[in-house]
Amino acid sequence: MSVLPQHLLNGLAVGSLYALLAIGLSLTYGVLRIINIAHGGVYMIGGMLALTLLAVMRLPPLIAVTLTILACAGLGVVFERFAYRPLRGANVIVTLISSLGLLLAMENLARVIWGPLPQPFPQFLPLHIYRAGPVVVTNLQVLVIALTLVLMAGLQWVLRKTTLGLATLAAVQNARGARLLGINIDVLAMAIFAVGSGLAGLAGVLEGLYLTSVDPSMGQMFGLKAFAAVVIGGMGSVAGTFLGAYLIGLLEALVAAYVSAGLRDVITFALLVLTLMVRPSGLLGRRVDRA
Amino acid sequence: MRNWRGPRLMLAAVAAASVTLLVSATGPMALGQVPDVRVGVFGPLTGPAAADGNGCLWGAQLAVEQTNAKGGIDGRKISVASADDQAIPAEGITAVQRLLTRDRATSLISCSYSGATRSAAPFAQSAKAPMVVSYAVHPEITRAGNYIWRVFSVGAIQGNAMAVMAREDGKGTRAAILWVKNDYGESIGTAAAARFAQLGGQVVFNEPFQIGDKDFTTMATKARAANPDVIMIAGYYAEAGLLVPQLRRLGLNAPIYASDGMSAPKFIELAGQTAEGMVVSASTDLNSPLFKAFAREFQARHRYIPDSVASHGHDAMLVLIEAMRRGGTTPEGILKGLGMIDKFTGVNGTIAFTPAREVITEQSFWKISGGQFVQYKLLPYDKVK
Amino acid sequence: MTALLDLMFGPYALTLLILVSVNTTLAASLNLITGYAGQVSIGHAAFYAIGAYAAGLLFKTFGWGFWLTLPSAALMSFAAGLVIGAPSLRVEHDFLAIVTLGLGLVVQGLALNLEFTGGPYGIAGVPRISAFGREFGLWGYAATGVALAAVTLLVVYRITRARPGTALMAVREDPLAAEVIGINTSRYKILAFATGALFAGAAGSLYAHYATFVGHDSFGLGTSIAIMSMVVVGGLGRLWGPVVGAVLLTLIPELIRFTAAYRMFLYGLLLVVTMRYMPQGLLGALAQRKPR
Repeated sequence: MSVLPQHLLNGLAVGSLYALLAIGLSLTYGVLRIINIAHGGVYMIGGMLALTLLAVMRLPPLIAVTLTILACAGLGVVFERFAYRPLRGANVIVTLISSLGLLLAMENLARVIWGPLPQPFPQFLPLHIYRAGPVVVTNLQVLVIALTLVLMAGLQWVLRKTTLGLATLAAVQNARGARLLGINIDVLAMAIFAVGSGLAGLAGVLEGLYLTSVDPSMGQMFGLKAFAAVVIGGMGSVAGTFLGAYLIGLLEALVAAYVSAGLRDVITFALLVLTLMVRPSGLLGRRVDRA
Repeated sequence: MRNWRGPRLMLAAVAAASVTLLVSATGPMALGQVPDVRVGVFGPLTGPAAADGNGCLWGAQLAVEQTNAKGGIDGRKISVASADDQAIPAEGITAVQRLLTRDRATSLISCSYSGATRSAAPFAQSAKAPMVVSYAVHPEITRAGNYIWRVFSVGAIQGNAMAVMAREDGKGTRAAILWVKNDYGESIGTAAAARFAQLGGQVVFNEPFQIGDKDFTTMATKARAANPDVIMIAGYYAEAGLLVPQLRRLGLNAPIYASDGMSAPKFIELAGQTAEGMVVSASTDLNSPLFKAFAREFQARHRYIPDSVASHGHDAMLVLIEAMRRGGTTPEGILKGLGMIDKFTGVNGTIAFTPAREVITEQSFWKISGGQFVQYKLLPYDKVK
Repeated sequence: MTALLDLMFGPYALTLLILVSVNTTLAASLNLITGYAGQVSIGHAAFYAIGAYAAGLLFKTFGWGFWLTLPSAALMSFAAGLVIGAPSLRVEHDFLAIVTLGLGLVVQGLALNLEFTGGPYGIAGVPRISAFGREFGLWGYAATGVALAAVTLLVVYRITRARPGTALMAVREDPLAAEVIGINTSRYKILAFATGALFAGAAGSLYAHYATFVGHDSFGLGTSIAIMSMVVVGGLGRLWGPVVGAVLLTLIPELIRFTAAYRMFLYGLLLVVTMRYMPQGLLGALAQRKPR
């Protein structure tokens, strides 16, 4: 009985969650050169907020999820406007510390509001388990993977076919040039933060559904892993980010399966370091210019 | 580079800090009345581990409240000073010094994890302040010296007990052991594996997971492939509350024996239906009237059923109070009193101490049935040591 | 009055002084790497960890005390700095930040998972410092800590005032131009990493003999972030910046204990606000206000 297909499927499901989170990181880095560590915090807020809307306010799932996505998008815009915009052009470290401060503040405020304990997440989709030979597939795994693929395809379409998308791609290529072309970086930054943070909020909800619980500490490591995905794939490249996310998801599953779950994070981050040593701009990235 | 302002600003900062420290250091000093007997409690009151630190502190405070209501010790009230260490080792030292110096505590209770308790213990020892450890399990802690005592069974005892249960109660022959990668998980897991093999069973899967892990599907897949007929888990509810559903979801239906990290209602809340039928190690006998009374009072104040951390914070304080009754309220008296404790009845059962100042107590097991913990078995200390 | 003095210089204040001096050493050594040489590192806790584990293991293997483990741990950390600094030749700026972050997590993960580091149990029973047959009390530790911080600052000062320092800053400001005028940039980048690592390792050794055990949980990402925050809040590339940062960021959490559950929330907010209004750090902001 081979269990390899099962490990691969598990890896794909987690990789999908990384991908949803990584997209926002990739775009903010690509256009604004911000290492937005606080992104993991927005993802956590998404999970916790959805919990309140569903379990306490008892809103219908569709409305609760929509509200969560909107709220997270709003949070991203607020961060952009008040924490990041004033720092544009400052030393990388300054933005990084600010971002870490935001993450710390969010985590600890969440501990005050929701308590530090993990909470069971309302399972508004009844669980179905399908067996195909030795492989067990749940409808949640299918949902997570399918939804991510659809959203990624949609995002690619937006980036290639709409004015805003093309402006984004132009800014990723050359921020100064884009500004010369009359692209308003402020508007673009807000749009990118809104979309990225909204997707992070959705990822928080999906994590709650798929892994059955949410807690205030869930964002930090998850955010770092998503960031590792972005770096491995190539900063600012949507396809690369996507590739990086699934690579990390699969790698984690395989390391846990065939080496040791204890060494999983060590190996993931060692791979990150090695990738950057061999290909400093990631697998699909180009050398970025420093505007 | 003009840095001439640096030293001056630094001086100002140091001066400001010293003044503030001085002001805060003079703290609550009541003059001219019978001083309270002050016990210092440290633990993670903020941060990710805050629930455990606070629960334990509340358990300890309840014991003080009840003792004071009955007149305290020889007419002297007991008071509790608390300090947050966020479960960070270096903060543990600072917290203990703060309690001993600023708050003038004469004895200590650790409501913290192993890291902070371990770093604090040598300092309690050298300050000659008796310290009772509530729930930190690292074996080294009590080796700091004769002032350090522990009311919680070390991991090995619990691991032995789980193995005995898995073998005898669960009739298991092929065990899968899943443990959290820290001193708690490793000490329980290692002992459980050794004892299970010693009892004639075979360990077919033995692997750690990490604190903060949420996706256990890979581990579950691998464990399933080993085809165990009994499962032992050494971990905390935050991870195990997700691990158990994921094991069951993948079709692993062998009976589960779990460590006391899962003996909290929160675990049932997280694992839901999949927790049904699990047997969980817990040092408390649910049917004991003393525990029932404690749980009632605790729940009235804090609106949740006390978990193992809370009941051990309570027992740590009860033991300290008993020691004061027997030996007096000076640090030397408390130390002498601790040495005299034998067959003391706390809310977790009878308490005595080995010469190494480790607790001797029976091991209890609960079963999860109908979404509730019910008392299941009691193993005597001799069977699991 | 004596009671007040006792409280002011008593054990609690002394433990805070010890923390401040260890943090100052760590921050000043990182300042050399990031502030002067411009090599962003958010994995500085790795060197701290290497120093602490080296001290613990040297004690365990050879029974060495602090006075022997201090120089050896510092040298081992220096060697590690040479290796870990290598990526700074390949990647720079934000990518280097990510690489060092990754390396920090790898070092901590190895400490938790390897056999010889004691795994999750760590290394126990590291002896306290003693000299002339007497074990150090808190006064002794505080004096040692302050001395270590002072030596670190002095060395950073000497380096930045001498030729290596000017070379370092040239590498930071314009690596290409530095290369053109004949500075071996690779050598200086690596040297900055290794020297910073040396002092972080020394701090690790002091910490090991202070806490009397070494465990992986003291050296996580949180520690690296805290060290970097101290440097940045004080003022990157300023001699006294790390001192101001270490004093403030060590004492502020102590002083706002009364805010209880909101303590770490406020700490995070403080970082955000400081970066927003004083991106050059406290000393940077002061220097700017002064008309030249």
